[in-house]
Amino acid sequence: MIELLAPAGNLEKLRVAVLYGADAVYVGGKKFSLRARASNFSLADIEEGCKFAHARGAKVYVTVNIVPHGEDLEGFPEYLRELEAAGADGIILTSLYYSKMAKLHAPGLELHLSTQFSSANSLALNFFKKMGFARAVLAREVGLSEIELIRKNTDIDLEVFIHGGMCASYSGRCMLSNYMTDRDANRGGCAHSCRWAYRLYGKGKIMSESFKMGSKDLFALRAIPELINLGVKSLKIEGRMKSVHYIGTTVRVYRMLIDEYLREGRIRDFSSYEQELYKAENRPAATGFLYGIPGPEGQLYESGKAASNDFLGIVLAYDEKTGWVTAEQRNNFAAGAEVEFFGPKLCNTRYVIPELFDENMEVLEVARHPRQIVRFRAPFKLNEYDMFRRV
Amino acid sequence: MMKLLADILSPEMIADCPADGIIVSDADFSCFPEPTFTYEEVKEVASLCRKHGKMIVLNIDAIIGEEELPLLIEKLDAYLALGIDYYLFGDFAVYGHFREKGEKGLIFDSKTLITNKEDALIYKDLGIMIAISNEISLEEILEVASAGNCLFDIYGHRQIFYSKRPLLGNYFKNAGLTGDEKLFYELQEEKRPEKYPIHQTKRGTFIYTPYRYALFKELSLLKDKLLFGRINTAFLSEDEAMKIIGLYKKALAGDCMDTLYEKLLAINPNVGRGFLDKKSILLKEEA
Repeated sequence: MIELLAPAGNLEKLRVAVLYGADAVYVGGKKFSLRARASNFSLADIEEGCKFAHARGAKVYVTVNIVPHGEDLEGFPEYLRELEAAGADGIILTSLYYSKMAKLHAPGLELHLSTQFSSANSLALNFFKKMGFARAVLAREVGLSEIELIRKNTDIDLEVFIHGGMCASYSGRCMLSNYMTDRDANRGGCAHSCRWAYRLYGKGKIMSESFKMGSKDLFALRAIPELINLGVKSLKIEGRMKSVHYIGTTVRVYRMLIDEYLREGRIRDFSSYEQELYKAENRPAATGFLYGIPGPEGQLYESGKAASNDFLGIVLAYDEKTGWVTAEQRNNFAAGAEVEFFGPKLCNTRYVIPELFDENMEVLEVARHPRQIVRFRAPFKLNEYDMFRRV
Repeated sequence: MMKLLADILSPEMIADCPADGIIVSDADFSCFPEPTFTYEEVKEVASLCRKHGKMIVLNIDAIIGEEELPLLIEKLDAYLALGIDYYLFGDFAVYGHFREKGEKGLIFDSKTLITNKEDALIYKDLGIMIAISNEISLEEILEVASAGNCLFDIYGHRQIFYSKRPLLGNYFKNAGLTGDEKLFYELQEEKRPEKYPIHQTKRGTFIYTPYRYALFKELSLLKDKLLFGRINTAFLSEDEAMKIIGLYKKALAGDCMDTLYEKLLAINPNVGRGFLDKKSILLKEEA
């Protein structure tokens, strides 16, 4: 069965990912993981996250995907044992030494080869399978026609990125950040130097004052049926550092699309899914390498969209008898605002919030404080973790 | 004792080259900017190397796609017949194929992935030599090198970015510029004075350090630990390359380091030390 794999930068995002339909989530621990600035999980968080996910039939994979220096080896066996005891289902690795240690100290953890290894062919993948990896995250540079061939030539489980940010370089082979800023991308400190503007010189003369090489985000929605047909095991959404709104929106859309395809054998209308995805905080997007090497249309030459403030809040509780909603504010909104509610069991529902109160039932004109607890009435059933956004 | 390897710029270099071994870059599967060599040209280079008592090292350090495997296998099998001494590879497809053929002289060169001794030892157990990462300090290099199966790039512009995308060509098209993407260009960020060479080949786009990385005075510490030291001659003239290789050879033989280093700087003073003396920053959040 195809797996929808979602990022989770903290426990709230993990819960949202699972509730909104992810079959599995990947999380980073405090140690040994890339995405250094994501609010990574403590071991207690991982344990709690595993309990939450497992109770709902979902798996948890832990990223252990730094390229380790000598100082990153200390304490690793203990960490592996702790991860296994916490209930993690698998770990995502770049180091063969780490994989050896995992087989020795935590044999219950499934080993996944990180995309940092840039695996792009079956000869390499067969080697990694012999080294004990059950799954490989393919390089983002692999196209659909190559995935088809790879599937025929190896039986290692394949995980493919379908949505989210893309490096301009092969992952794991870039040192721009480190050489320019001393921040080691291969240990979680990427400064995204590939997204900066540069002066370009040719034959010693300035050719451009604003050369750019950053890539558009990946948006593989229309390729999902083909990826399923090709026998890919897991479809991966990127973005452990993205918002809970992004996680909820993307996971829900891909869940619905996958379910429709598995149920009906076709997708009636991709555009409705696309419109829904655009409501999340996506940068300009393209199809990456899925249909060939990207031309200019795959590059990000314009400034990215400013961070969206459309995500207004998340539901904490709903009283069915009274219709009172308790919610946590995520961006400013006022009484009288028209909003769109959505959730794992809730179709998009528009509603004008008539009156707004704070948690002490004092009338509010505007919910302007970050994470402010607000109350209002709604004439339809809402659930914890439903969200609402500006229309 | 460390053997000195140098990338070849032309077959004419071989006879007088002071290096112990010559690196020749395959035209289809290497990331070396230029020159690269066809099979027939490699055959000629191999013959010259044998004549002049040099080891020959084939550079096939690209990341390889599934659709390229038939050509890769055809070429690897052909190269076996040439008696190549060592292969620098960047993709485990090469190892996957050669393992079945019993080939022993395999050096994994990912530029980034080998940063600790324990990983180096895993590769050693597999019968693989490794190129040490460009991102670690001298102290760390010494530790990794003690695994006994290591190569290290000791001089030259270092490749610090490898993209499959034709980034120059794409930019020129988008901006309506008339640029020859095969030329060598330079990038300069607005707050940094240095210029980074950028080059596009059929394998993608590559960016290099703005200076020539030079590990020189530390050779005495490393010469008995490293199997190979590589002089990367990308962007160098033949004349420069030969002089630099000669200085390194003398340094390994024990000549006066300070004098030799002055001569090295006289050839080109734009040298840097990368991460030899510093460690990169981690931004991990603590509990």
